[in-house]
Amino acid sequence: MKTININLIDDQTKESNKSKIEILTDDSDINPKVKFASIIIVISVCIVFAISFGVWSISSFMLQKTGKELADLQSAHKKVTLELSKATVIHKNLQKEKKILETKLLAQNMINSSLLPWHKVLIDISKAVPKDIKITEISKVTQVRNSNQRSILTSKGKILSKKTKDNSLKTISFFILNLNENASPDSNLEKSTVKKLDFDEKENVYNFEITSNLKSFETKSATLQ
Amino acid sequence: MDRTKRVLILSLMPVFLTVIFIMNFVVPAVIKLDKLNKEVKQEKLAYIETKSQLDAFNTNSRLYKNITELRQKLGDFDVRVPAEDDLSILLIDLEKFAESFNIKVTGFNSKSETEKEIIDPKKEKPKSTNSVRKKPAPSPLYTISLEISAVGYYNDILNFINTLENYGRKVVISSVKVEDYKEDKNTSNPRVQITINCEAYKFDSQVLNELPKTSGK
Repeated sequence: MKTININLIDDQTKESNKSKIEILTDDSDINPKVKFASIIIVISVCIVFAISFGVWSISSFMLQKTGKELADLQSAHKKVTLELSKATVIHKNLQKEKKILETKLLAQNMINSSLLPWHKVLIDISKAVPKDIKITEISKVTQVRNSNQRSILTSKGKILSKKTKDNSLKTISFFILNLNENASPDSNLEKSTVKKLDFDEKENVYNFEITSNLKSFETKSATLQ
Repeated sequence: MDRTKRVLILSLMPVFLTVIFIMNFVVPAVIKLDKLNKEVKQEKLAYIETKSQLDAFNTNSRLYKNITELRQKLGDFDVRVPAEDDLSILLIDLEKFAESFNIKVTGFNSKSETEKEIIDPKKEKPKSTNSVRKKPAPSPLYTISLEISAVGYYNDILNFINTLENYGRKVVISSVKVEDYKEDKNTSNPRVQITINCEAYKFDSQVLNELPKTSGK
């Protein structure tokens, strides 16, 4: 009988001579196309990952920064809004006060324009009035002509002279003359005229009514200069 | 599983991981950043608008200056034209003046206050047209018509009138009536009876506060 001697042990030792690393790196059995594709995929993924990580890092940093900026802006806006509401209230109050003061000023001007120096006017009249004339009523009328306001003084009175009518007329003429011509420069009256002259037969006296223009303060100060 | 498949699966693993990273971290961060940027932009706009509105109120200082000037011009307006009629005070003062000039106040009549339209004396009064005239807004100025009768010597009465004109409260005399005092008819130096028609004023600021706001200036 013929014996075939097979040395199996020797072969095993041959195979075990290959290290594990060699086994792992041995890619002879991998399809080269797959191998290439997987390398490309891994490299691309690495690049994409690196970019995404960069984007994420920048975004996170920017988020923090913008968040802080937003918080600062919000607090500044809140402050400004508060100031604005305060300023609005102050503005409203000031405007209200201004309106009241303007109205007061207008009222003051209006009242002042209607003022008449009665004390001086009465002195002027008493200086000009002749003995026989008795003034009974003096009143003021305000006239507006061509946007100019002027005051007119109406003086009513009676001529006490009971002599002749001519004398009475002279007396009133003297009174007018005294008012117009003989008055001092600081007199408040000008352009006096007789408006009415009636003879009262019952009392036997003349009743008269004369009007005088009142010098405005501007005209008066100009005359004095 | 043969090695080719294993290699393929292993190389696809980072792809999945990267996709998960992008979806869970990168995309939300970018969206959040974009949203935040929009918010910042809106906030900036709102801030600028509010700031410009606030800057517009810098006119407040100018307004305050105007008010100070007006106050200076008005001086003691509130004393001359008080907010109340205060006729009792006027009456007390009248008696004081009369006593100091040795004259006697014989009568004091006051009419109920009437509203007086405030017209700028420098401006021309608008001419009335045929069309229906708009009712003027209520005026804060009121006039109180007074009739003061007094008896005394002419010079004393002149001084009394002078004091009345320089009185703290504005009293505008409109007419003066003079007549002989009947009781002194037979005396050599008769006194005169004077009747002064005048107006005192009051200014009620509340009326202006109650006025409805008119549109536009």
